[in-house]
Amino acid sequence: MMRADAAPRLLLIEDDRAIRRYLRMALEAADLKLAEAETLQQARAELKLSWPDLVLLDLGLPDGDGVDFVRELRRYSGVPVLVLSARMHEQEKVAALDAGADDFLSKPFGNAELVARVRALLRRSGSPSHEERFLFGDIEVDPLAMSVTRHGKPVHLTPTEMQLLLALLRSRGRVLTHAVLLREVWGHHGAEQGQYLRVYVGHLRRKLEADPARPQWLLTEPGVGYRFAWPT
Amino acid sequence: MKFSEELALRKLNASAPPLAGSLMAVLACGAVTLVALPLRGLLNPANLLVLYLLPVLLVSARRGWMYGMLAAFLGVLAFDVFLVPPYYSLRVEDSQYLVSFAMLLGVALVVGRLTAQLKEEALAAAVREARTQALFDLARELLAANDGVAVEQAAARHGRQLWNCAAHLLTADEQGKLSSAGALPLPASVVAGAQALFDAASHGKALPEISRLADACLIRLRDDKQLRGIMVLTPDHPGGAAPATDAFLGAWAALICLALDRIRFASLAQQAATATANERLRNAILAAVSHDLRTPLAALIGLTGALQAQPGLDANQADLCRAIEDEALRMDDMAGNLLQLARLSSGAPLDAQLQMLEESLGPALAHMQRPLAQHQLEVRMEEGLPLLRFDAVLIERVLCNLLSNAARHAPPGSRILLVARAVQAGVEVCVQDEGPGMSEAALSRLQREHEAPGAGLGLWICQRILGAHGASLQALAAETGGMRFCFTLPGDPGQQGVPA
Repeated sequence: MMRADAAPRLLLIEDDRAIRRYLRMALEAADLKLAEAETLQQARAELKLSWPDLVLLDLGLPDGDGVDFVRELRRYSGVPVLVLSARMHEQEKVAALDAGADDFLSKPFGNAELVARVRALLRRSGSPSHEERFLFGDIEVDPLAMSVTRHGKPVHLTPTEMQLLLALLRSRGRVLTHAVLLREVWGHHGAEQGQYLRVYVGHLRRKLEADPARPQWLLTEPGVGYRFAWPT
Repeated sequence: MKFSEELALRKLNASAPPLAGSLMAVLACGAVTLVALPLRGLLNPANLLVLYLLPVLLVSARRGWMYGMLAAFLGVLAFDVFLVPPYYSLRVEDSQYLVSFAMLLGVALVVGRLTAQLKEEALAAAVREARTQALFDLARELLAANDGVAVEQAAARHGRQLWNCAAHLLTADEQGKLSSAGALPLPASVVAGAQALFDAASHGKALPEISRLADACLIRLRDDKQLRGIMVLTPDHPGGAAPATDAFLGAWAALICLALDRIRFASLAQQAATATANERLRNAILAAVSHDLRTPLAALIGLTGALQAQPGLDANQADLCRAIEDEALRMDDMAGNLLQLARLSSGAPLDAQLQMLEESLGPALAHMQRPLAQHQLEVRMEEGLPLLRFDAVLIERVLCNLLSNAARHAPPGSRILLVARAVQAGVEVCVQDEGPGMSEAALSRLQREHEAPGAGLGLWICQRILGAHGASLQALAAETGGMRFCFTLPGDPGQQGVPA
């Protein structure tokens, strides 16, 4: 979907002018092209003109519910959607992710974080390959051999831990809600296993993180889910 | 027809002056004798004797059976002296007249008793009717009363009509101190007596419902649970009497008690409704304000970020930019605190899940990285802490607020220590700084959760959040100087093991 010859094109849907202004500055500095829409109506018109590589969506728009807009968009497009939302609106974030949004960013956020999230989403839509080897820090994960090494020494993971790690790695850089992770690792019977998920994330942290209390890779998004922080 | 109860009672008790009754008996017998004298030659004396039943009936009906008996004796005497030969002498020639005398006395006794009884019953019925009417009138008036003063006025008016007594309502406040709702003056000695009675009765002492103090009558006012106050009835005029203690007085007081109860419950319901409405409005405003504050703050933070990325800024300018950003971030945090407070006060349920402390600790440490950049943060977490049931978002807020509090008060470069360890009740988390500490007053204020935040909004919200988790924030002076804030998240008793 991404055109190799041109810079990626983004559609920003945000009603606050000051926020649009600094987002434009930050994104253009990172060689990303940007179209703007103030309302959902403008966004629909913009989508008819040209198709973006990624949508940045503020949830609190004056002419409609952002979550409904994500649902509508998902009926005809798989374009990555990054939701911008104030911190502490966890229910809203989960609703947007459930509706099909790919990730969220809590306001206020720094420029580096914004660009990293955008890049992570663009990379995903550009590279569908799943069974690559993952290298981060001093850790290497081989999905085919189902092996993990740290400092070159093998780390023993149980099958559930391995599945959980791979699920997070395949969506690296993006948040995965509790519900999505439970479904991916435990299947359809996973809905009631909420505390298992948290316990297994804890196990993984003990095996992979230098300081489990201050994780570098396996980050918690309180009230929403987990994110694998891929190095940029 | 207006019926004075006092008059009815007086008649019923036959408390008329004895002289009047006796005089009536004498006059009635005299009159009958005068009528009978011209006939004494013409008629048989036995027939004349029947005439003496008349004064007996009359006097019994009007003055009671005692005077009826007196009339009978006088009648027999007059009959003997004036109508039975030999005249003007007590002697009786024919002894059969003695039987006549006895008959007259017997008939007088029976007739007098019956008449008086009838009269008593009629009076009692009238009194009952008057009392029922009085209770009905009072009830109707009390139904229209919508505050304590109106009840007191109704009681006073009816007390005056019924007994010529003034009624005072002394109601107790929260400390059990009696005070009058109305403006009627009451002697201090009576108030003191009522207070003593109230105190004794509220300490469970068994006392009669109605007690007396000098010429005043003290009646306890109680609902089904507790004593609410004392009603005092005092005579309007010196030398007057308070009403007698009887069932009517009890019923009368009970009506007033009910009215006071109704008013109390109505005002409680009103207060609760107002409080709920106020609370809802406050939460809505809090949520709206904090939400609306955050959008411009997010823009401000982003714009300062963009400014810092501009080339050509000198070190001083970059520093100022950073300071603006820091302050904007702090303000955003405060807006977040307000929003969380609004959510907590609105009674929304906790999203409490069984999880590890890291679920909140990790995000809190990541979030606080920038405010804590000037300090040395040391995290000591015990291995193998148990799972706890808590709301991760809220406990993250608690940890952020405690860390931010430490960062603000402790000098740059000092050490901040975060310790999490297993204790019997669950997991204890402490944040300790090397700042100047808190005053005793601020410490004790912090422990009173429901008061307005004296020690800062952040700590107050911590207290509220921990309260919702069944925990509480302990503020202690650290041995190394500075403050130590600790809380213990309770463990989950029904914890199950997790398969590997």
